[in-house]
Amino acid sequence: MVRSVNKLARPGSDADGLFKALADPTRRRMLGLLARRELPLKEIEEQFAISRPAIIKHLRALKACRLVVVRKIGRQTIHSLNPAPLRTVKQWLAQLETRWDDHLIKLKQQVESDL
Amino acid sequence: MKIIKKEIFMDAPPSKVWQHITDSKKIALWLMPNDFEPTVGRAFSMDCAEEGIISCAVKEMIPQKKLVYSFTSEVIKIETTVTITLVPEGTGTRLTLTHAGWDALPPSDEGIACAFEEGWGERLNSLKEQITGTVK
Repeated sequence: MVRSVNKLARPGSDADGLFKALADPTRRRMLGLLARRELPLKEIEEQFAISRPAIIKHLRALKACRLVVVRKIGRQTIHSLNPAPLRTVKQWLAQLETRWDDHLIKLKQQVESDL
Repeated sequence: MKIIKKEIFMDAPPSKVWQHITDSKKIALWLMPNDFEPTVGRAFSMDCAEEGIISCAVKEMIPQKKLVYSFTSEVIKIETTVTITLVPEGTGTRLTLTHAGWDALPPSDEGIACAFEEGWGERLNSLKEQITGTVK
């Protein structure tokens, strides 16, 4: 918007992958599941009516932006939620909110000076 | 997830405020360059230098009272909704702007906190069962 230099929202920033990852309903459902408890791949698969490669692709998107982290226990890969990157989203929203303030103040001045 | 909600009082009647929120040239002065057209169903875009193009569509228009449009930024590809309402107040207008639809975005921090709490509850129950040997 008019005034800001918004690093977070600039295309190509880290936030790009994060927002893309969050923009998909399947991936949001995965995050919801993982927010309850960490899960091995097999159990994630059981919750979705899509193919294994599709599941893996979604998980890859979530791992790429560190919303999901994995660790190995024996032969199992355990997936868990890492909420830290969501702070970026929160920050973005906070900035957007501030900018609405700026815009509305400008609108007020504009309307009131329009005689 | 939170809703962004803003209120501002303007010392001008709703008819005047309405012009400034529905005329493309006037919108450009306080918000962003745009190709807004005051027709329900009409798609338009706003050019936000830093965040690219914001795709919008007029959803609802009640002259001098209410304007609703969808708002989808190039970066956050989630459709959100901006609602602007005007209420006359004395000789002026109270404008309320809400920007909602963020539910579709992340599980909110609160949501995650609750889910964690729930998850911990479950885990502590199994731990308790494990320790006390209670098998249900």
